Amino acid sequence: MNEETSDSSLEIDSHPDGPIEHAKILLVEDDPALRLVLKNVLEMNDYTILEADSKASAEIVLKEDPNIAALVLDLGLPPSPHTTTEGLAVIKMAVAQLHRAKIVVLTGQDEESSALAAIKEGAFDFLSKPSRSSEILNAVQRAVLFYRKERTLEDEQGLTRLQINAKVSDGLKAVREEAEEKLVRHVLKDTQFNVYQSAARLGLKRESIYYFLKKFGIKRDDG
Amino acid sequence: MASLYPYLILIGVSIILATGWLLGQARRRARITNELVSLNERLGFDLPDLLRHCWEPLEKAGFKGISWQLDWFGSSLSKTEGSQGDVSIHRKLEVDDITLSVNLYDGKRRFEQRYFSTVLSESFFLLLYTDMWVKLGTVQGAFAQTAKLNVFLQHDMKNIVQLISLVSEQLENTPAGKEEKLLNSLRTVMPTLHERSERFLSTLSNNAPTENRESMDIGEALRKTADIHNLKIEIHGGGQVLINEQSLNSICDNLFGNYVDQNRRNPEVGLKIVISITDSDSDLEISIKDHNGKPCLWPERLFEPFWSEKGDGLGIGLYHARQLVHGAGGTLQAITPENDPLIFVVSLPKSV
Repeated sequence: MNEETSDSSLEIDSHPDGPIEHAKILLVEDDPALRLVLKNVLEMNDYTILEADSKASAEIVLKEDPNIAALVLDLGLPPSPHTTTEGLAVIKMAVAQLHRAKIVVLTGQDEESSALAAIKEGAFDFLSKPSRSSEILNAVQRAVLFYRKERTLEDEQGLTRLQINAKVSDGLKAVREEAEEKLVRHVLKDTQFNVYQSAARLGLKRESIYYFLKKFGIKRDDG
Repeated sequence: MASLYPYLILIGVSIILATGWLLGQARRRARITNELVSLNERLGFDLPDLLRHCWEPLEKAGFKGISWQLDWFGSSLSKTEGSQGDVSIHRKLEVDDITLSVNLYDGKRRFEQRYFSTVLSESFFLLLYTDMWVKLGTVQGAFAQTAKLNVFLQHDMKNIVQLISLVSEQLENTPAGKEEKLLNSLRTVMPTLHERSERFLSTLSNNAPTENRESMDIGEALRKTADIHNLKIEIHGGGQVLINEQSLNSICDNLFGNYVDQNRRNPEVGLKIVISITDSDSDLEISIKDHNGKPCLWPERLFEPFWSEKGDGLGIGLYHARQLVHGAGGTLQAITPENDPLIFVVSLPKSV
């Protein structure tokens, strides 16, 4: 999809992604008219907008641009726009591929069950249609703020936020394994799959990284 | 040997007479069974009505009486007709919210009479049971279809309301210097919103508008709809048809909808939609074929309302298109070769 840059003349600060007002937002909405209006709302508030109308196009845009701060996601996407299947698949994909972008769900699907499913999969915020533009802007602003602060924590203090859905009855072992897998994947992604650098960052021997690669079935193309 | 002839003739005549008598009896029972079936059909397969009117044919069949108690979605009904005979045939039939307890009274019957009576009573019980399922199927189907329609309409309606609400807010609070940009976006948004709203209304209305028919360029209508869906089409031939503009747009939209879904599911295959428009007497015949398409696996289901191949669609697109084409005085058929992609053939009245 096309990328269009905002015409705002705000000064860009020293952060590599620019100030909050210039954060990149990926709009995933299959209704072209609504997508255009949402794009205008966000652009008028000086966000830079990228667009996608399906899971496939969202995946391409996310891969091409790792600096997307937030997704505004409609859960009802083709080929089944009247169910939440494709939208939830986008959240799963973004989480599995360790994209840092925060996901703000904006959907017309049944509120109660969709919100639960979306948050379970890793959505940051949930808005139901119709929402006022101020609500959408507030949610996007919060998402961008969290994205930025997490990046800062990562850059300055080496802290990485991991999201784990822990079932208490599964015990500590399952949680530990999920945390290990996510952390290893995260570091490998950051080092472009450099085993030597990953081992150094994690304070492990290279053999241990190879052990985790085998144990979790991690491959270079995973994300 | 000759002395046996009279006996053999007697036996033969007896067999012929007995067979004739049995055939007559069987025919009489078959006539009564048919009478019950026709009565049921006339009463619209309505169980309470059938129970109220079934006694006359059953009495003709020689039954002594009937008594029944019906629990019909929580309401109780009962009736007794005739008298209690020597034998009572009892059945209790239950289907979800419908329970029927019925006693059919009969006299003492022997030999072939008992079998004739059993065949008739079992056919009667089967009719009652079928009516219960017909009612239940209709009720459940109606609920399922309404729920499905609601989901679809709600989704579309929420998008339309969301769009209108955002546009109104933008119009109220346009930042200085952004008016031109807003105007440009409205130029794109409003026709799409109009198209969406019309599609929404046409989903709600099952009636084909027959008024305001006008001469429409079929090739242009097909191209316009293909553009909206971002579909590439190749058109051979052309002509004018006499039809309501909204109907024509909706027909094209529903026919192309199928290809749009296919394209989204398998974008790598690509579509090669070729449309041929030919002249035949008073009609124009439009055949649409995706040469890269697959053979249709469900030819009998194509126009069935509320059926969708993947179960995720509303399933009224092609049904609606067919209704609209019929409303315009034309026909819509699908040719589904076993090893070749399906072809839609639309025939519409020509504009003279």
